[in-house]
Amino acid sequence: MVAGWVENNDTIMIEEMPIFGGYGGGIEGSTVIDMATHLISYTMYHCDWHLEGPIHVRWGITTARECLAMAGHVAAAFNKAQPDILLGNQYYPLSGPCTNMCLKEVAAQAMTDTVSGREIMSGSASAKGVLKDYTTGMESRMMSEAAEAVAGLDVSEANEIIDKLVNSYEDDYREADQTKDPDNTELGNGKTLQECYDMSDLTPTDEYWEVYEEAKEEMEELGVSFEG
Amino acid sequence: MGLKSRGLDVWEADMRFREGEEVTEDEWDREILPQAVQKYVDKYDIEIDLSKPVPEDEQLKEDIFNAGVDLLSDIGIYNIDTETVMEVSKEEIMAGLEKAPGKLTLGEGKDAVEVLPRTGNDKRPPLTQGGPTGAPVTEDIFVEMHQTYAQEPSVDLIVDGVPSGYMGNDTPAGTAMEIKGTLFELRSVREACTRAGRPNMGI
Repeated sequence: MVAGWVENNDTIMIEEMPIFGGYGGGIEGSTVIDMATHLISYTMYHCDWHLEGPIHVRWGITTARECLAMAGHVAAAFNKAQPDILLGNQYYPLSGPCTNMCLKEVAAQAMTDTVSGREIMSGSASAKGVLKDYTTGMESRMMSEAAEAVAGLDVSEANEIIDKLVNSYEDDYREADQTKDPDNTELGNGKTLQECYDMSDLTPTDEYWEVYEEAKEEMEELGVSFEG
Repeated sequence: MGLKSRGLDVWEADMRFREGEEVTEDEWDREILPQAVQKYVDKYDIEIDLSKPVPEDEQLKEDIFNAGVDLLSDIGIYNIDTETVMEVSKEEIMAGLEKAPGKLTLGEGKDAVEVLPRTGNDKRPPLTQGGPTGAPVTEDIFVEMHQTYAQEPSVDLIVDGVPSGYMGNDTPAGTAMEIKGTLFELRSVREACTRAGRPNMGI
């Protein structure tokens, strides 16, 4: 495929989703493998921009603390050593649309991506990207708002906020992962697009707006400053 | 951007894999890779504080980059199809990075966005590529699903989901119906952007 793309002079994005807890062992080893894998894209695959998405071996998500650290460290390392390299990260939160937890998960990752100097945020495959129709534009809206809120912030200050934000949801993975109740608006799978939007005019439901605003208010209490 | 010309390219890699050292996938995964990774974690004394997802130590950033370069130049690149290893030098790694573009334009016309390097946590936030990112989407609402992203003003680019089928049929890889499914996917995402008034967004 790559040979054809090069011959066609296409813009080439190379994607990798390194596993935290795989053959690299712990956080340090997994991070070094993630870095080396980025380098392969530029060495062999004619990469114009690189899209990663560190995945937790147990939970299958990118929003776990270890996955945020892998992505944050690799992006920051590139930012220092090779600042012109263009990097993206993709979003696989555990929870689904219209849940407080999903919005906090994508916000935590967006903040990490922003503060570490990344160029593109790509998502979100909510509900781990495995349930049909469990994704909506509202999660992307949150990614953008969270990124704007921390862009330019001191790194230490941002780290403290992200740490508190991840603390607020990381003990709920097991319960949220086992939750099969689509009406659960706190944890778990959440709701489908058809349940989150008025499909006649594609506007979000009042319920989703309420969940969205409550999640923002909770994050503001943790120190996030949203505009407007 | 003109046609790319690289010292180590996909064709050179193809040739090197054909002549590379034979290694089983199991040996690579369970012995060569883990041992080499630990060697460079130890060499640079890399320690990550999980309460700080973004490193604040400048030396740590350099060490992670250098450990990655060392690892790759030490063990090379493994090809699971040929079960061989391709050697790669530090010079070739750095040359590959130097050839990468410092900026990109994605999309066309008024809907195009420039991807520019960010300097640390600068005040310009990352671009948002909105979409289901490979998650499955019912065929009947595929356009509407992507329109919810394209209509968000803060979304700059689209990353699409996967349609559940085409005309009610499965679209398995390697079949004729896969082509129909792929074209349906591409045309539907473009239709979604058009309905949102942003027909030429980068997809």
